[in-house]
Amino acid sequence: MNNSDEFPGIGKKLPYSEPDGFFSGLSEKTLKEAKLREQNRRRITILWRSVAVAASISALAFLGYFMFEPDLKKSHQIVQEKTLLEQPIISEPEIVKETEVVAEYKKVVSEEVTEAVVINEEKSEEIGDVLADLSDEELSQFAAMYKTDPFLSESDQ
Amino acid sequence: MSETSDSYLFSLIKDPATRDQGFLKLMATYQKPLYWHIRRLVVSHEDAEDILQETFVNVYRFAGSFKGESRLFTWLYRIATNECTRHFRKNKNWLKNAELITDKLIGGYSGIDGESSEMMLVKFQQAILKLPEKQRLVFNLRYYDELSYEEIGQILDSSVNTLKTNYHYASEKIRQYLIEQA
Repeated sequence: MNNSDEFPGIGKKLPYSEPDGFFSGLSEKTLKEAKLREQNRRRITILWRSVAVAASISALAFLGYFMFEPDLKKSHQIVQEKTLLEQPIISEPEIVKETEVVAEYKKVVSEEVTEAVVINEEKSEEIGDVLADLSDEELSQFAAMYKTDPFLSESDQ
Repeated sequence: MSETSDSYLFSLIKDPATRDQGFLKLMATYQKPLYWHIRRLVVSHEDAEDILQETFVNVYRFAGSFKGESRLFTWLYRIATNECTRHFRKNKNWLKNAELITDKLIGGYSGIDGESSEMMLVKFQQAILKLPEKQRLVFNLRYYDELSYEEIGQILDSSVNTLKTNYHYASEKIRQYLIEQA
């Protein structure tokens, strides 16, 4: 079937044409363009492959770091605990202070005791002098009084 | 095997050693029919030139993937038609530009005695431009390239019955437009 019969007087003519000399040299020009694009495509492919390899290596290193990180945290905790155990309950300056205080107290107490001993010793010397001045009859009377005196404690008796 | 037969050209392109030689021969054989197929769709010569170059650059790039299941010219027309479709999607104003060209042509012919046939040609193109995209494609391939519905079906990936319907409606619309413009 000749389709152009459908529209008589028109046929297959067109109201426009191609520019003169358009087709001459078109093949070589298109081949040149096709080869240039292929070259560029290869360069881009190589570049993207390099980027992909670098990205993979970085991702693996990153992943490896996070995989080992929990162990680092643990050892840090162990170090902290160990440090806590080794630490004295009371710090040294406080211990020094306490020792000094105790020493002073001891000094004061010993001084008081010494005084008390001296005072007692002095008192016993005075009673001894008095007893030395008494006669035998007077000493026996004092002894009888001591035994019968109700104001003296039972322990003393 | 003639030097322009599909199988010969196909064998040249597939072989890396003769790829460039095969490509030049292929272009020499098909550049004109493909140019006019594209030009009839887009009207503008500059657009047709760009699309034609894109078509053959893609042919060079994807020649290795052509399996020979269809005819070589069917494959080429398919690539060219897809490039035209991409052009329509990318350039929303392409139709306005095409109508400006035809209006300019009509303006050039009006008032000139003996040029009524040229005016009819322009109005015929204006009528085709008014068709929906699918009908325009089917009409051009059937009317100008005289391809069978089976061959058009391979290019447009459509059934024969659908294509026949499209062509019928396209013809009716063009006839109606020409009557109104007369």
